Amino acid sequence: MTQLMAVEEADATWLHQQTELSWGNLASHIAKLEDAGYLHVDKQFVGKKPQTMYSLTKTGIKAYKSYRSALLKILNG
Amino acid sequence: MESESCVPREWAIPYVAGDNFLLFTLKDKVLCYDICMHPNLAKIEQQAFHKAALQDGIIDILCGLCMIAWAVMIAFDAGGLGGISFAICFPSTLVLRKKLVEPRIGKVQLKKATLKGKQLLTLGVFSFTAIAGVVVSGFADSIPINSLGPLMLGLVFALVAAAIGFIYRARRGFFYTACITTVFLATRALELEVRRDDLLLPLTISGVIVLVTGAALLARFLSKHPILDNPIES
Repeated sequence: MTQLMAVEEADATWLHQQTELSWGNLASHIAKLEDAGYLHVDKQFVGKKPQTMYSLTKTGIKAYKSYRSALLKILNG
Repeated sequence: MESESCVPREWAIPYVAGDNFLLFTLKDKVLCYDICMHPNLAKIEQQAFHKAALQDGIIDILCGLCMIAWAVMIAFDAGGLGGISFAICFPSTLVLRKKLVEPRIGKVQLKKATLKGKQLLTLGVFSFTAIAGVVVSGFADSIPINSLGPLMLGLVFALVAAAIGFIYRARRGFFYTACITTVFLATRALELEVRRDDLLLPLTISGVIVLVTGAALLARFLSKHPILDNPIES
């Protein structure tokens, strides 16, 4: 989610490189975030190749911000 | 990492700070806080931009080729056509990036707000270059700068490289500034230029420096990032 907060949208290869998660682990993270409504999945074809782009939904951005501010509150005492 | 039993039970006091984690207690629970989850988003955005747009050296290669092409055109009194090479440069960057970069590091769309600011600044820099180029080449005979000759154009190139380095936070922009300045000054000091518009030598050398640096960056990029099969897509 952090990686997607920093960009508009990205594909799985980019997320795999940035997070250094295994493909299986990344796929399960994506599925869970999508189920929670935090991730928007845009599947399209570029030529004959499928391309899936992922971006955070408004709910996802809100959830990330509240999680981050909660952590910051704890860290700052 | 320390075991849970060794950790004191103070509320929310960081106990162990490692390179990537912070261990602290919250009421009676021990929490391991991954520092990666508390990142500097602006820094991650800048890193994403650097990785997606600058790391591969493609833009350097194309700019180097444009400079060399322009130098040759100027030598054949067709300097005005130099704009064509720069006009070809940017669409070529997009095509090469799609073929070489995206299969390796993936596709990413950077934040529009960030890109818009950088694009406006770049447009400003290139407008300045175009105006300066017209002034130096078109009116050089009637204004006092003509005695400085190619040095003026070298200065423009050096300033553009520095501005690009500053806008995109790419250190090699400053390296190019130093190289271009040195090359143009050395050409003047060694009196290698013959006419006011004799830019072939300094512009070619500067172009070769940019081209070779870009080629080295591309070679490193290609060896560091092999083509990845994306099992999620298949």
